[in-house]
Amino acid sequence: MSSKRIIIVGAGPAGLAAAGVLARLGASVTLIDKDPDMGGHLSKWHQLFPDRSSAQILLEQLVSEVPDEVSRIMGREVIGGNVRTNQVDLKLDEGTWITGDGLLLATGFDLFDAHRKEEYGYGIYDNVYTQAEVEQMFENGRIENRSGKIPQSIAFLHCVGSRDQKVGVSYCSKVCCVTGVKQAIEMREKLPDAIIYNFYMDLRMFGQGFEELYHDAQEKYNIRFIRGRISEAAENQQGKVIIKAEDTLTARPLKLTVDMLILLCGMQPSKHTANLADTFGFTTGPDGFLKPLGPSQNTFRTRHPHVMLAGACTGPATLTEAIQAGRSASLALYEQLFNIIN
Amino acid sequence: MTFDLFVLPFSIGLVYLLIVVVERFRHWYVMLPPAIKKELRHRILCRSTVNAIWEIIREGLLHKRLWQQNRLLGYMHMSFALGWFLLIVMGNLESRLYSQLHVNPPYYPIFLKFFVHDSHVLPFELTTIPGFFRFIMDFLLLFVLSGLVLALFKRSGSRWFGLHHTTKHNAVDRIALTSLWLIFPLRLLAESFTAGCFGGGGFLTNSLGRVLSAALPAEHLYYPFWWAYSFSLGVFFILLPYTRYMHIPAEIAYILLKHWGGPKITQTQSYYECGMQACSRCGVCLDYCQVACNGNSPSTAPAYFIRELRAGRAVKDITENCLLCGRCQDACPVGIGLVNLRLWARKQLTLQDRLLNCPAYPATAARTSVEVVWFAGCMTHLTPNTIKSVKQILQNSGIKYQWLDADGSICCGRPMLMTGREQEAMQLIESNRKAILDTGARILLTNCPICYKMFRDNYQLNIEIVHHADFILHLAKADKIKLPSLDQKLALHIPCELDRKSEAATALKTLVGRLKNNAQEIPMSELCCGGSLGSLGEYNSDTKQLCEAASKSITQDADVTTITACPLCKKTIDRHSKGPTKDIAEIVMETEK
Amino acid sequence: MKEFGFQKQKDRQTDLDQIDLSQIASVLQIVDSWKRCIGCGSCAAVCTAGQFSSFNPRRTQMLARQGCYSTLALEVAKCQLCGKCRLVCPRDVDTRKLMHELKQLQISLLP
Ligand SMILES: Cc1cc2nc3c(=O)[nH]c(=O)nc-3n(C[C@H](O)[C@H](O)[C@H](O)COP(=O)(O)OP(=O)(O)OC[C@H]3O[C@@H](n4cnc5c(N)ncnc54)[C@H](O)[C@@H]3O)c2cc1C
Ligand code: SF4
Ligand code: SF4
Ligand code: SF4
Ligand code: SF4
Ligand code: SF4
Ligand code: SF4
Repeated sequence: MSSKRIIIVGAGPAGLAAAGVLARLGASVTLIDKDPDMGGHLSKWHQLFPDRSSAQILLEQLVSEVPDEVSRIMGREVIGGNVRTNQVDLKLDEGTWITGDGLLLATGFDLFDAHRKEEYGYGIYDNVYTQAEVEQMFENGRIENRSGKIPQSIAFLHCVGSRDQKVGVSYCSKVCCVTGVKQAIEMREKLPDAIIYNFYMDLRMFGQGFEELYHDAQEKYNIRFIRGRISEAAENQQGKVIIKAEDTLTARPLKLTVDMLILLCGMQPSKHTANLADTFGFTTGPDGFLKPLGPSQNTFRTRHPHVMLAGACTGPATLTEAIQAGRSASLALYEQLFNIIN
Repeated sequence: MTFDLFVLPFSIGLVYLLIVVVERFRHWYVMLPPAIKKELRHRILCRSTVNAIWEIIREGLLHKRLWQQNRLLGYMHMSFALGWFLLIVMGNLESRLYSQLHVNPPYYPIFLKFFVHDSHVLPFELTTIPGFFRFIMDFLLLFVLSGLVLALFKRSGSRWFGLHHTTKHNAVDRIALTSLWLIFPLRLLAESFTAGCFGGGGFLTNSLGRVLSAALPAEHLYYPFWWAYSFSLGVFFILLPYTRYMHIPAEIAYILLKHWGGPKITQTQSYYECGMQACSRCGVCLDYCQVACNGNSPSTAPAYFIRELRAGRAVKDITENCLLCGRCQDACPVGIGLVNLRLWARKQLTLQDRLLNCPAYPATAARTSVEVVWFAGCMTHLTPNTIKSVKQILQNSGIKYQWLDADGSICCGRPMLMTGREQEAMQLIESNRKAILDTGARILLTNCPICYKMFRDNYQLNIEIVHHADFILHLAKADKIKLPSLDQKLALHIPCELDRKSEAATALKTLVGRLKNNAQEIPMSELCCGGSLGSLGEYNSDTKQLCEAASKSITQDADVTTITACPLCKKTIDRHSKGPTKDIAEIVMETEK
Repeated sequence: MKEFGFQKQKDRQTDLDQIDLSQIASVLQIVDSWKRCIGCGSCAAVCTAGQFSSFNPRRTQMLARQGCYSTLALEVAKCQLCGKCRLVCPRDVDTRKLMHELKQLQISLLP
């Protein structure tokens, strides 16, 4: 029975969850990831929303569920391939091919490249950061700006590279709002005297405990929420960032000098998505992410019965969703390959 | 016998035409402001007249600029214009051989072959004066007819004429066109039949006449053909003022106004109206206009836009969605000031009785003695990479400067001007002018080509105005800055607001040329990026089409960096092209680090 | 009401039941993208005219959108049509074209 080989591309939360399930069911699994280590984006985060639990612990759990029998090909990128009836061939970046009977794509997302919004000065001014860099700061336990100073004023900017036609993205990345609120709270804990702002267009607090986190941020943590999108940034002599926004609720333009500007970058399809979609004959959605067969049913199926999708490769997702998707998709794939239902 | 009834259609047409044309010319003259009228009278006796006449011959008859466009097209237009002109001149001279009168009725030379047969002259005789004229008249007729053949051919094969688009005509135009095209074949047949019956005629008409009269009852046919000939002339003359053929007299008037009117003439109503009439609808501009070629609006091209204007229709869309890039103007063989013409049309559409409420600069700092005043421009603030690089360049060069718009500025006014709001733009100009002059600087440095053009053409600052491309080149020549040599793939987009022939544009090209040490050619585009503030078309969707086409013309690859020198171009191209886009200042400083 | 020192002020309230949006309809037709505005304030943040004056393009156009024309003429006249705003709108509203059309409209609305 286990003579059938299932390939999972992407060892992020979705891929790991799927590998765990399939291995427990006794299938022969190969896990491929372009990074040397497992975990995908999860390995870059410090504490998770909404409950501030440790990303490290979750990652360890997910990894521990993947038994040693699962063969791992790390540091190899899947760049193409083709799908035949009952077989899948994948092309790796060094030119080798790998063949399996079933495929689960869990290639996740890439973080939006903040350089593309030149007006925010990322990579131009010293003290403009992305939220991913801030997670690293939390992880390292040191919050300081490029000149080694502890910031006294911090501004988060929501929707960078999301909901912005100017960079060709109209969708909402879903997790950055709550991430921004969570990070603001963490900042406050580390820097009790700092002034912390969140600049937003809309706050999208859809998940369990999210809105409560927002309440706390306002009430307990004294975060100042300003409804207006920052649209211009400059740098002063001291390396501080001068930002311009409109405080839309008072209808007045606003100028503010901060020690740190943090960009809440959105999610975009991972690098090879378009290419993979092309070679496998999948469609992509208007957002460029892989499009499963159905929006409510069959959310992990593709037009090939033995190829499944899971996690953020189908669009912005939380960990909860990515892990769930990984598990569901792996079960469906197992059923398909081993003719459990017909 | 020097009269026949058939000359009437021609004569009536001609008289009508003359009345209308004289009336139009008079109207244009009367409308001129007194100062320009004075100027005009003053210049009639100057070199201007010689220049004007030379231009009329060069462009009205020889069509030099059209020749430069395409030889077939040039020949076609020349054969019509020069051929017909010489037919008239020669015809007049020839008619004098047979008439004792000093002044002949105008129809006489036109229909000379009907009145005079002179069958003693041999068709190929060249040595006698009448023989010479016979020959030359037939030769000229052939010349015109060859152009006609080309014109017929152009309708189907415009590509051969270097045109990808050819103009489409309305009903009146088509009648006029048909009558025009009939004139010369009818003349040929009328003269040939006459020669067939009575002898005479030159090498062409005589030979053709013999052949025709052998096969057809020439003695019954020649008279109706003279009627038809006269009729087609008459119809053409009567329709002329209402069709594109009005360009024939109007072009002459336009050239005269241009040479006689002085610099202010370009702002007058007469100049616009006359320019509008001077368009021959040759169609050359169609291929230069990106909005017509790559956008969704073929009628934006001057050929059609002017047709609408002439018909008294101010069509909002096409008046407003032109980029004011000036490419058509550079190509127009008549030399019509097409950009100003469009602006003038915009002014008619723009309601301007309420004036801008221009804010003043906050109290400007006391006069500092700086060498350079730096005005980055509104949009440059959205490209901090450019700002940072220019700042570094200024600092490295050790020049004393003042950054006028560090905390924001008032717009230079050109965008306002381009929507047709002159008075409002004036307020912006005044406000900036004062702030700039208050610094006492000798040089005004700007990063925005829109500002550059505006400061140069509309501010009368009497200080040097430089765009940073030019500035960097000067520093490089003076060894105050070291230019990097790059090995990445580059492409160059010249901002149209930099003015293709200006110093800044030349400097930009030179500068980019110096960046590469291997002799690899850098693809260059002088197209508009599509984002021009000159256009009031839809910025986001219309621009996308234009920009994609423009950037495709220089690169298709994601690993090619497009260099430009305008914040607006940069933003626009960066959005719609595959590879990265960088300002020249950024490129120069990038590898400095 | 008067005795309490209150007065019912018509201007205070946007009365959507009473409002006449017909004038704005023509502008909406020309500047289709206007309908997409989400009021993020990016245009107002960068506005050139807004730096040295009380002009606010977001507010101005939103008032117009709700049929409040009373201050439109005064406000929209301040726009310099510089086009900076249209480089930042996340919803691809052609803000400059909109301001141009609103300028046209306010003039035609004048008595
Ligand atoms: C700043 C930020 C903070 C977040 N914090 C939280 C949080 O606190 N709580 C929460 O629930 N969610 C959070 N999320 C969301 C969470 O990160 C995602 O839901 C989750 O990472 C999705 O998992 P995934 O496996 O689908 O994709 P990923 O994590 O992106 O993993 C995909 C994996 O596939 C690999 N891969 C991609 N392409 C290829 C290829 N061609 N060949 C080989 N390998 C490939 C990648 O290397 C990667 O390891 C956050 C997201 C962001 C942006
Ligand atoms: S989740 Fe919030 S910050 Fe992220 S794109 Fe959506 S609205 Fe913007
Ligand atoms: S409760 Fe519903 S309507 Fe309200 S913010 Fe959440 S999703 Fe939107
Ligand atoms: S505008 Fe100039 S180029 Fe265009 S059709 Fe007229 S004469 Fe020709
Ligand atoms: S100025 Fe440019 S856009 Fe306008 S008609 Fe001429 S070529 Fe076309
Ligand atoms: S930037 Fe665009 S979406 Fe935002 S308020 Fe202005 S017009 Fe509306
Ligand atoms: S075009 Fe008008 S609204 Fe837009 S930034 Fe310029 S001044 Fe402000």
